[in-house]
Amino acid sequence: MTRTDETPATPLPAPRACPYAPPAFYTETRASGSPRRGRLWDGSEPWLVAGYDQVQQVLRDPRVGADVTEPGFPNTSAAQPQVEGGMFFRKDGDEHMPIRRILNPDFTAKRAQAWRPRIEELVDEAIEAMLDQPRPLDLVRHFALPIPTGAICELLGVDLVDSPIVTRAAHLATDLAAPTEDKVAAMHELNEVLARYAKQKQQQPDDRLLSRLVNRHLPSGELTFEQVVRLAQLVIGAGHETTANMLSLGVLALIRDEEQRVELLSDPDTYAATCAEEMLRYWTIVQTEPRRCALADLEVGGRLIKAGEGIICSLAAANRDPAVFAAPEELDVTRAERRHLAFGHGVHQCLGQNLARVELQAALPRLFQRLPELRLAVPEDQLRFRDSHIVYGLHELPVTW
Amino acid sequence: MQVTIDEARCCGAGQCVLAAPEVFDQRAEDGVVVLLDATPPDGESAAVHEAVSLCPAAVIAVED
Repeated sequence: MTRTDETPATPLPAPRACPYAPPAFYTETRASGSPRRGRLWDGSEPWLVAGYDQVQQVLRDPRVGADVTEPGFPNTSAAQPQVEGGMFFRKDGDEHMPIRRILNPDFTAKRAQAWRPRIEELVDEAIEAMLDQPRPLDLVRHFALPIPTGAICELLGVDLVDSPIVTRAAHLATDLAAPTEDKVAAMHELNEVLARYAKQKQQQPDDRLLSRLVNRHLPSGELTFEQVVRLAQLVIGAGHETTANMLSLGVLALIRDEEQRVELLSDPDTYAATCAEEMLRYWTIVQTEPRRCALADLEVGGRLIKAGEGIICSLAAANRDPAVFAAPEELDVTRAERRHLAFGHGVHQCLGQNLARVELQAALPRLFQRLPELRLAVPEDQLRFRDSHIVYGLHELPVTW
Repeated sequence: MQVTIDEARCCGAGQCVLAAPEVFDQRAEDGVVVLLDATPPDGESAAVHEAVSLCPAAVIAVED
């Protein structure tokens, strides 16, 4: 591969020195003002883009593609083109937008708001169940996972809330270190369950997403049965583990910072929304995506990125860009700033963002209102963060009160 | 101010609705942006400009 800069390529994903900050290579790349080369598992050297304006530019540029089967695409593994190659969110243009628009109705800003009362109930149910458990307990398992799993299963119209199949499949799918055969086996297991649900919905339609897919978009010829099942699987996977990690990290941040906790609870009606946006910005959990491939030559930050070269954007570094955010390293739950890129940017921006927002807004203040004494049950330096996952988070969060 | 949208490229993220609900909505059937008010009053200016900057697909244009 021809190198067009002087610096040796850094292996990606780069390690974090501190669990509360993006890896230094990403923030240093941002500070340098130009993209820099990283090196992947297969020896390829995609560009790392880390400045806010540059990330936004790349993700909005139609000359930059999301197709994992494109030669030069910075794949997460050798299996990625085969496993994800058919998925709409890894496609561009006419292979992407029509499918996204089929899913959109269940994820609009207004539909997410309409779910708020039910999400508030899910939050209270999770807290009630926590009160019945012996302490200390793992907040990931008893709070962070059940709320988004419950919400996404109801939205889809499947009763899989207590199913380990869902959690296992989502967990393995985002673990970069998990063996491919385990990932594939877990996905097949989830697929079988969802296929059974889809057939059941053909007999007994309802007003939920899975029923709509199988009773409207399958007969119309827009989707095949296999696509329906894969979309349901995607919605479940993307819809619960991401939010679960945001919830557990959000709780951790508020446990660590009493001042911020007091601020949030002083006026939750005002600060629930700003707190949710600030947690999204501060943690920016998607740590190894978005990945893209240049379809034509383009210039980013004074650097020429050639057609066929891979690009990886660091949303976390972009979200701490001092050119955009005042005191970017500081957590401030009253920060009125929605310009963060935690959900990505461009036409692939997170489909479930409005639902995720409502879940964070409902869950974080409520937990501390109900359990004001909530605290860590282990020393902070014993917490295990998900460094090897596409989505950052905590393996477990032992708490007591 | 004059607001125009490019429906064809809209991905339906809904950011404009959160920013300026008096000016933008989403179609129920596919989430695509609906322009409620193409010439919003001056009071909406800040909200509309926020919608422009947040729109992931850059499909909103404003002429002041």
